[in-house]
Formats: sequence, C-alpha cells, structure tokens
Amino acid sequence: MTTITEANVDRLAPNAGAIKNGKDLVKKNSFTVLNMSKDGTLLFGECKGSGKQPYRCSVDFIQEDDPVSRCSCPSRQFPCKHTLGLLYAKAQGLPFEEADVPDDIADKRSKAEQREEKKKESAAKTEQEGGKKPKSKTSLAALKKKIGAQLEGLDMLEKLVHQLVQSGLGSFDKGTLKLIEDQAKQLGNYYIPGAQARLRELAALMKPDKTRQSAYGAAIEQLVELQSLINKGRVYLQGREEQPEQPMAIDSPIEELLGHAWQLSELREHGCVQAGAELVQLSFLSYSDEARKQFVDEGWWIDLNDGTLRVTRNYRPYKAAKLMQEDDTSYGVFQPEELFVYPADGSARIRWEKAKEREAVEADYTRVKALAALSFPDVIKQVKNEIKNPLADKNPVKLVSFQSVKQIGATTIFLDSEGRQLPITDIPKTERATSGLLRLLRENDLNDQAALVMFRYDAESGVLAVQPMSIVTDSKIIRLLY
Amino acid sequence: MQILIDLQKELHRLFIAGSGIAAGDSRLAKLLPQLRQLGEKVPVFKRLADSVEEVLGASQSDVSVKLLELSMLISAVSATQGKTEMAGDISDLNRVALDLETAASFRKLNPVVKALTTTGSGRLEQLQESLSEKVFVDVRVVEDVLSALADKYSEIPDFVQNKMIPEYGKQVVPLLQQSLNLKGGTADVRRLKLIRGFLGDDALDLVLEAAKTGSADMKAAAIELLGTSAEHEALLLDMSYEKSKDVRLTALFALQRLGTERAQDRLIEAVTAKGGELAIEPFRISPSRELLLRLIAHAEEELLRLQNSPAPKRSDSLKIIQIIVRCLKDSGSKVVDEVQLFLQRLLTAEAFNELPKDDAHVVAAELLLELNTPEANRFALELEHEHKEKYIGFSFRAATRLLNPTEIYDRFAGVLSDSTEAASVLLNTIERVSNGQLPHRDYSKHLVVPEELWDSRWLHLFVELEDPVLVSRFTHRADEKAAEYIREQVKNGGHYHFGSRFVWHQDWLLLMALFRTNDLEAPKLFMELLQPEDGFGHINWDERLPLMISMLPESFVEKLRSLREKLAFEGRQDRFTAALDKLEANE
Repeated sequence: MTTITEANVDRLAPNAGAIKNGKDLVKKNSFTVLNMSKDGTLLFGECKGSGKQPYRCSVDFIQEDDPVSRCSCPSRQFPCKHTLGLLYAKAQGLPFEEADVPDDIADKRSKAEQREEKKKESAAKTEQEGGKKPKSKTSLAALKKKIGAQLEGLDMLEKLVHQLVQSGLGSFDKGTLKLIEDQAKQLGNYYIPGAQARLRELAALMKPDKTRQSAYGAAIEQLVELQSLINKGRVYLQGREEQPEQPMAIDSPIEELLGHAWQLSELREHGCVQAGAELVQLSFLSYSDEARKQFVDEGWWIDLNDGTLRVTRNYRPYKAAKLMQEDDTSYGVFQPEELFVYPADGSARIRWEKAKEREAVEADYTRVKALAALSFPDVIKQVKNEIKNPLADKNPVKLVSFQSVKQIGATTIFLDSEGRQLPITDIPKTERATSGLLRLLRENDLNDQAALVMFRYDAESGVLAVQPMSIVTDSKIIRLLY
Repeated sequence: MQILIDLQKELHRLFIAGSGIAAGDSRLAKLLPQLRQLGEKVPVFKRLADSVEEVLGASQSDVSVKLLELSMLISAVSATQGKTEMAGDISDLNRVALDLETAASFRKLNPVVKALTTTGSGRLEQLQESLSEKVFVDVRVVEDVLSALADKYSEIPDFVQNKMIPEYGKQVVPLLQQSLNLKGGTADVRRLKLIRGFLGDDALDLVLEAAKTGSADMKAAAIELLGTSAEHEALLLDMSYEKSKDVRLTALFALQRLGTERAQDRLIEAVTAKGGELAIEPFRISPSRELLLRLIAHAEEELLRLQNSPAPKRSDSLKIIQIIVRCLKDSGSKVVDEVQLFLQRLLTAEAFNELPKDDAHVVAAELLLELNTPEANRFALELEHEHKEKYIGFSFRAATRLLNPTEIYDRFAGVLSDSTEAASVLLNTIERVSNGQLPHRDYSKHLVVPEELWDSRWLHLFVELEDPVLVSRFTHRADEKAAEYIREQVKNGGHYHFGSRFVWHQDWLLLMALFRTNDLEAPKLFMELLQPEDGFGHINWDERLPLMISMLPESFVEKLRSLREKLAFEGRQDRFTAALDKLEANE
C-alpha cells in the first residue's frame, strides 16, 4: 500500500470544509476503534457520531489507485468526514490494530471482483463484434424528431429576440422579464438548454437592480449572440435533419453551444480522444456562473509536447455544491491514458479518467517557458480572430513571453522583446484581481519570463487588455490566481 | 476609430428605443457617406455601409434582423480594432518586492481569502486556523491581510495586527506606509503601531509627525509610541493642552512616566485647573513620592484657602480638594504619614465639615480607612462625635477593626433607637458590613454572619426595628422573640404577580433562619409557602431550596414531589427532584 499523506487525503476530500471536519474528528479523539487488515489493504474503524451507535467506516485499498470508502453514516457527501478522518488518523501515524477483514467487507470485495469480471467479458464481446453498433431505424426516427423540435425551439427563440429588438430595451419592464422567463421555461421542451441559458442570462442582465446604462451594452451583446446562435444552430440542425445518420459535429462547438453535454463514451465514439499528452497545470480558478446557477472550477493546462493550451472545467450546481468534489490546484505532470478533448473553437475542454502522475521538475518549467509565444502581435492577432466570433469564449487564454513589466500612467503593461505593449487589467470573471500583485514579485521574476494571461476586449474604451494568471520562469510557476 | 464609435453609439440608441424607428433614421443615414468613402479603400467598411443601407431601407418586418446583423458586424470589426498600445511615457513599475512564495493551493488559500474579503460569521476562526500552517504567508493575500486592518469586526484587525502581519516581517513596511493616513482612524493607528514595531527607533520621525499633525486617535497613539524620553518633553507638554480629551489624557500619562520637574509642574497644574478629573488616573498610578508630596502640599494650600473663604465661596476649593483626594486613592500608600496628617486637618476643619454633605466628605473618609493604620483607624473612630450624620458609618467601620463585639454594641446601638439620619446611615453601614461577611457563593451554607463577630443583643434590636433581612442574618440559635416575628412575616409572605405566586428572597431567608433554629413550625410554613390554599401558579427558585429540603422530615417527600411541575425550567425541576431523592435516601 502506498503511504498515506495528509496531502493525499486532502485531495480525496470534496472541499475544504470536508478536510476540516475530517481532521477535527481525529483532533477530538472521536475514533474509538482503529483497525487494519493483516495485508494492510483495508483500514477500518468506529467513530463516535450523534447517535447511540458509532459509525463503522472503512477504506479499501485492494485496488491501490482506486480506494473505496464505505461508511454507515447517512451523509450524502462522499467520501464522508468519517472515512476522511480514518485516513487522516493513518496519515498522522495513530496506531492501527491488526484485525481480520470484517465479513461484510469481504463480501463486498468478492462482489466487486465479480462485477469487474463481467465488465471485462462484455468489453471483450463488443470488441469481437466490431465496436460501434449501427443506429437502428427507431432511434433514427427519434433523433429526427428531436432535431425537428430543436429547430422549432430556435424559431420560437428568434421570434422573441426580434420582438425584443423591435420594442427596444428602453421599454423593458417587469412584464418583459416575465415574458422572457416564461419563454425560457417553455424552451425547456425543445432540447436546446444552451440557448435557454443564454436567454436567462439576458433576463439576469436586465434585472431592475442593475444600473441600466452599463446593462444596455451587455444586453445588446447578448441579443447579438442569441441571433448568432440561432443562425448557426439552424444551419447545422437543418443539415443534420437531412442526414441524421451522420455523426454529431466535432469540428465546432455548436453541439455544446446548443446545450449538448458530451458523454465520455460519445467523445470516444466520435474519436475525440488523444493519447500521449503530458499536461502541466498553469493556473486554477473557481468562479460563480449565476445564470446557470453553478460554480465552475477551471484549470488551465499546457501539453508539454506541443504547447497546446487545454482547460478542465468542473461544474458544481449551487444546489449540490457542498456535496460535490471541488477541484484544486494541481502541481504534478499528468499523462492521461486516454485524454478526452471536447469539440471547440479556441482552447478545448479536456477530461481524463486515469492518468499517470509524476512530480514536475525544473526541466518541465523550462519547457513550458520555451513553449510561450514570442511575439505579442501574433498572439493579439490570434485573439482578435477568435473574439470576433460572437459565440466564442470572450476571454481567451494564452501563454506569452515578455521582456519586462512597466507602467504608463496608472496602467501596468507587459513589454515584449520588440518593445510592443500588452496592457494589464483585472477581469471580473476571475473574481480575483492580480494586476496589483506584479509589483510585489521579485525583480528576476519579471524579467524575460512567460505569462499565462486572460484577454478581455473592452468595447467602451476599445482596449484589448490581459489579466495575468501565472508567471512561468525556468524554475517555477508563480500562480497569481490559484 | 471615431466612425466606428459613432456608429456604435447610434446603434446603441436604436436598440434602446426599439428597431421600429430604425428604418430611415436620419442620424444613422448621416454616417453613410463617410462609410462609403472609407469603403472604397477598405472592403470591410463597404460591408458596413451596405449593412447600414439595409437597415435604413428595411421593412418593419425585417428591420430587427437587419439591425442585429449590423450590430454583429460592428462588434466583429471593433474587436479586430482593439488597441493594445497605450499613449504616454513608459516608466518603471512602482515596486515593493516581497520575499514570499505563492505556494498554497486553491483549497487552502481560498477560505483565507474569503475570510479576509467578505463579511459574515466564522471568519476569525478561519484566520486562527490558517495560522498553524501559515497559509497566509503568500504574496497573493498580503494586501488583503493588510486591508483587513480596517475590518469592522474589531477582533479581526486585532488578530491580523498581532498575529498575522508580524509573520511577514519588516518587508511589508513600504506597503503599510503607502496606505498610512496620519489623519485617519483606528486602522491607521494600527498601521503606525506596526511600522513602529518593525522599524523601532527608525520610525521615530514618522511617529513625531503623527503626534504633531495626526488626527486625535493618531496623536494619542503616537504619544504612547514615543516612549519616555526627555527629548520629547516639550512636545508632550504641548500635547497635554490639546483639544481632544484622549490626547490630553495620554499626554498626562506620558508626563507622569517621564517624571521631570516640568512634567510634574504640568500635572499639578492640570489637576487644579478646570476639568482636573482627567489627571486623576495618572496620579493614582504614580510611584513618585516627590510628585505626591507636591500634590499634598497643594491640597494643604487649598484647604487654607477654603478656611479663609466665606461659606458660599468655598465650592471651587472643595472641588479641587475632592479631586486631589481621589488622586491619592491607591497612590496614598506611598506617602501614608503625609496623607494622614492632611486628612486629619481636613476632617476636623470646621469650614469643611459645616458644608452640606458632599462627595468630598465621603472620599476623604474613605481614603482615611483605606490607609488602615492604627492611628488612622483611631482617628476615624472618633469622627462620629461631631457631624454624626456624615461620619458615623466610617466610625463604625473603624470600630470593627479596633473594638470587640461588646464594645461596638455598647458604643453604637444607642444611635439606632432614634429615627435620625445618623441612625439610617448606621443601619445601612451594618447592612453593608454584614453582607460582606456572608457566604454568598456557597449554596450549601446558610446566609448568616459569623457569630463571634457580633454581639448577640443586635438580634432583638433588629426585631424591634422590623428589619427582616438583618433578623435573618443574625439568627443563629432558637430565640422566641425572633421566631415569633419571623413566623408572622412568613405567613404574610409571598405575593401574586400576573396570576402566579412568587416567594420573595427575604421570605426564603427568614424560613432558613427557622430551619436553622429547628423551629417546629418551619416545615409546615415551608409547605404553605410552596403550596398556598388556592394552589396558584409556580414556585420561583431559590438556590438554597435544596438546603432547606435537606432539613425537612422525610414525610414531606411525597407531597413535595407533586410540586415538581410548578417549577419553571427542566434543570431546576431535576435539581428539585435530586434534593428530594437525597432526603429520601436519608443522606
């Protein structure tokens, strides 16, 4: 069994609160029994709870890289604080008495083994049958019906958008808001949740508590985006309607924009997988997306092979946020067995299930720094090209080399080796200001280094500026966000 | 480009007003020629011009689409125009390099950030927790930590100032200085204190500036930070005349610590001037005999002045004397002989004593007792001969130190027989003195004075005076005269309030006295008090109820158990039952 360290356990915990609660159980001596099986693959114990009976919890390391926690407590949080506490107790070196594996766990182990066997068998079977199954007639008919509904939904949305433009944002009132809300609700039946969420964003922008003047600009932008989504969605869906047997589009994010949530199996089926990637996280942030009522944990990664920037996004709906695994800063180098790459225009979202992890060494940082774009104009051109598409990510992220950090008036700027500028700002989306941090860094860290930056075009001032997310030197990553 | 900004402005207007007015809009049309002209060289402007024309010529049914299309085009064009080169001179970054890492992970750092930048409960606990791993020793939160010095919940700035910021060390001084406002409030005072802590005497100039030009809060803090050094004498003297009371007081304290001759002059001056109360505290903690002797000399002078003034003009001197006497509380022990002599002169001065009763009389006699020397006590004992109504209480207290119980009774009991002011003063004093001898906190003991300290004749005197509290306190053994009085009192005891029956504390006290003397009627009276014939309401709890229950015959247990519900609060009911269980078990 690998040694259990507190950092390892921290990573298993869904959030900071769970870490604290787990550690508190150890601090308060709540564990009355601490046991370990003879072969060391099972930790189990008893923990005092609010009821009369103690909770019986265990962590099974029979599959070393995939420990299973079990507990008799009713918590919906997984792993619960009792199993986390059990692991912290082990990490802190508390004595665990050797004991036989309890019957119920021995039972569960053998059942899990049987399941694993079956899985392998059926996987082998599908492989023999040649993988993909052709779509049946009935499923084709159902798909056609769904596409029809999607197109209908877009028509409905378009009518509303035109109506809103016709009557003008100045006449927005409670009645208009209610109309939007009602229509958004109705759109729920048309399989276009992406469009639905954008409509809700529009309503949120025009809520009476917002200052009108600043809201108008954003609302106009939102209307333009909606129209653009309607146009592109319609073209795409009409094509699909004619040839439903064709696979979904993977050369553009249109499916996701309309609201499709890609399953990993679908991505695999569509060939959106990559092998051999070697990923280092450059920055991490977590923000709140109010229109979609969820927290987003966002990790920005670079592939050491070719410098491609990737992003991981973990969505935690407000309602379930406390129970869900919260992502955290990652420090290692990850080599996923199978890297799932979501269709995208800019930096693609990625996911993986299993990955080899090694510690990052200086050579990795040197490599990252070397992968940064050397000239500002090239990057700026690329960014402008991306953001002119109304449906693109408004805040592209890039890794750029810079020569120095200076000031013009109150504005801080990056300078490249040719003396060209990149103004520095703070972007509300990140929920953390970092522009002011640069002046606190060591002098060397601001000379001839690379920076991961997030772009933002401000239509009012006409300025394209960046928020620094991390500084990369030859020996380290200085994370300005997380 | 100006044309794009103008175009966007017009579009903005049309979106707000509604696309209904867009077709043929004259302001939009005005921009068309310029766009056409530009379009000859740059194709994208030709597209814009075409698009504008389409809006102008659109029918009501498709004007919205056209407007959206134009808007889409402008957004795309202006995004490609985004400017990155700023006008102006390039200068070096205004830097404060910190020797700190950015090591903490999101999950570790984010709770600290939230605690520092949001409001709500649990924040202090979170910060305390972050101390063990020093998570906040990270470039990313330094400025948040410094800003938290201004947090509204004062325990957070306290913690930040005393525990967190010191972890950063001297390197944060420039940041503290950048945000320091000498005219500011408590947050800036904290900054100044931190800077002084980090830099030591190197911060002296800044502290002096704060003392001279700062806000009142800042001046007071600066005086303390200056420390006691003779070189600041002139400044401290100046500041002892400041408008703000806090500043004056801090300056006076500092002058007291400084102790130079000029400092002493100023202190004496302050205590005798208007608002001299402010100087009392600095004198009370003064260890300097020299200063105190000067103060007493001043008091003597003031006494002379008082004696030489006609009665209506004595109030100023009386006030000053009163303040000086208060200055000598605590500090008087350092100059006992001199204080004693002065007080003797003062308390026998007819010009002082003939004035109506004033705080000055009280504080002077109190100070005399505080000295607690045989001579002072003897002097206090004799005070009652003249001006009884002013001094008899003090004489009685002196007597408890000097005389035996019989002597005390013989000397003072007579005063109580007349209903004079002196009698009521004495009765109050006896009440206070005896109260001080009771075992208040120990609920297993009776509230009764130590028998050996008092003459037994007092009891009958208190019965005659019908003082139930003193009767209960002085009843040690069976006494028919007292018992009769007590029974009568208890029978009529208790009272009704909003339909519930309450028993007064003094009724419990009297009952206790009956129990104590094994009075046969006590149990019966006790039950009547708890369960009056009309069976009204609930019982109010007395901490000595269990003690009384323990003195009941066992036969009462059953009856009492039924009364449990009449007690409010479950905890009290349980203690009631526990006392009954104990009685039943004969413990």
